[in-house]
Amino acid sequence: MESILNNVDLLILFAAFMSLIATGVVFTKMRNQPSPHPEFGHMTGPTLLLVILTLLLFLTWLTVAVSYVDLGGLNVVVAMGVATIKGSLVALYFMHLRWDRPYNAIILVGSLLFLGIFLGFALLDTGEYNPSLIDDPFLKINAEQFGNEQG
Amino acid sequence: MSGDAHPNESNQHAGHDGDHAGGHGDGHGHSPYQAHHFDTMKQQFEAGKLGMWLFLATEVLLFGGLFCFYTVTKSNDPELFKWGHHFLDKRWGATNTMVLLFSSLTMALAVREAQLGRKNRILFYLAVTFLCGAGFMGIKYIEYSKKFHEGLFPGAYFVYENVIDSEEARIHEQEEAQLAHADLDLPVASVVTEVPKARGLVLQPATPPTGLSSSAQELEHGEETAGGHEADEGGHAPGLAIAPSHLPPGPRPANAHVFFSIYFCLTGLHGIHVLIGMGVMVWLAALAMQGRFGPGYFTPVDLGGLYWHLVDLIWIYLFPLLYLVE
Repeated sequence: MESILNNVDLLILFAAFMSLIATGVVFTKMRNQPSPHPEFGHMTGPTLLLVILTLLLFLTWLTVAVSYVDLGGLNVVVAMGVATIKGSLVALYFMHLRWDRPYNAIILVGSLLFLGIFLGFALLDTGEYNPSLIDDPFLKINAEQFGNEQG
Repeated sequence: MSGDAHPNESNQHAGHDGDHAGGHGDGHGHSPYQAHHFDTMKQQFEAGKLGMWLFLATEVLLFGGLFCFYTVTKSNDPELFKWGHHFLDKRWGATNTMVLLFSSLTMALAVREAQLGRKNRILFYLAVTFLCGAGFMGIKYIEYSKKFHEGLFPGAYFVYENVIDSEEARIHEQEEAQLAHADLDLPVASVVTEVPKARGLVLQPATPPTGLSSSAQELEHGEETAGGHEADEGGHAPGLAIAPSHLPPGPRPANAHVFFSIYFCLTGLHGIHVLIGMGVMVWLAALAMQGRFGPGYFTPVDLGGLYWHLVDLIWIYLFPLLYLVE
């Protein structure tokens, strides 16, 4: 158990390959069958769903593997970038947004936009404050400069 | 959800008989699941879906408040996250990510089977999704119980400092690691009697690096005299609550409890969502057992699926933010 857990990145890679194999098997089985159409809504084929799962697992492996390498500030960028790609895949294919009318996507993007405004302004605001104003070197330097200019 | 528009068939028929006795005898056959204020089932489906997306937007903003908590704290105090990050096991986090991604696939397949109206397959995929959710919560249980065991509670309940000798054990471990670099098995002082085989080498008495050896011995000796008593009790005592490999690399910051407030708020709220999602699976399975779903009516499965995918989507962001990024 512990040894499996310690190699969790290999486990994810293995799961991704299994998903890839399943994709191939389902693709060959479904190839000659006509794809049914529902009366309304969009029906996603199992092959496409499995392709998306494979991509998601590979991206998970990538983000876990990168976390073992110290890239400094780039670690956050890579992690968030991969998460955004994964999130887009889930929203577009699993949540049918790709085939929906655009209103649903507008609602989702709108909520994310407002979340961005919320986070952005909170960060701008918190950046304006220091934990303590006593012994703040920044303020002292400013005061000296101010005095020099006056003198 | 559109389920509210027609709680069950018998109610709806009662409504038909009572209120619209004349209106529905005109022979226009429509689905028993179509509510009166919709022209077609397609319109009803799309309206339900739009409403679900509005609800999901409020969910994004609900989690957004906690993400803001995370972002602001992290921007003000990155050191806190370097310390707290050590307590989160990314191996369990990655396993949970896999479980949740797989459950998303089975949920999407359940929606597809509902569109095809294949009852047994709907039930199968719903059951797999439910079990994946249960597995996710099981792994959460393992992670949480470890944290509770070590006294890593959120906010005012944080008692990590009271856990038996955790800080002393950490310092002890650090010193052990430093000593491991110094080779204590060096010969103290012995003249080399062997003649070097290479002729080009200049013969000179080989002395061991006494400085290193003696300083290492001093360190060991000093520890024995000064902190030996505590180290014996705290370092390897069987009663130590924390596995030595699990001790953080640095001293505990003063606001350590804030990190666990963030951790438990974010994963706790997400865990509650998973539990609600599992409840939705049970409800959908009960509806599917009655054979309600088919090409003309699969809205509840579709909307339940949207909810489950959103829970997955939030975990996709939570996992790297909490477990991977330092």
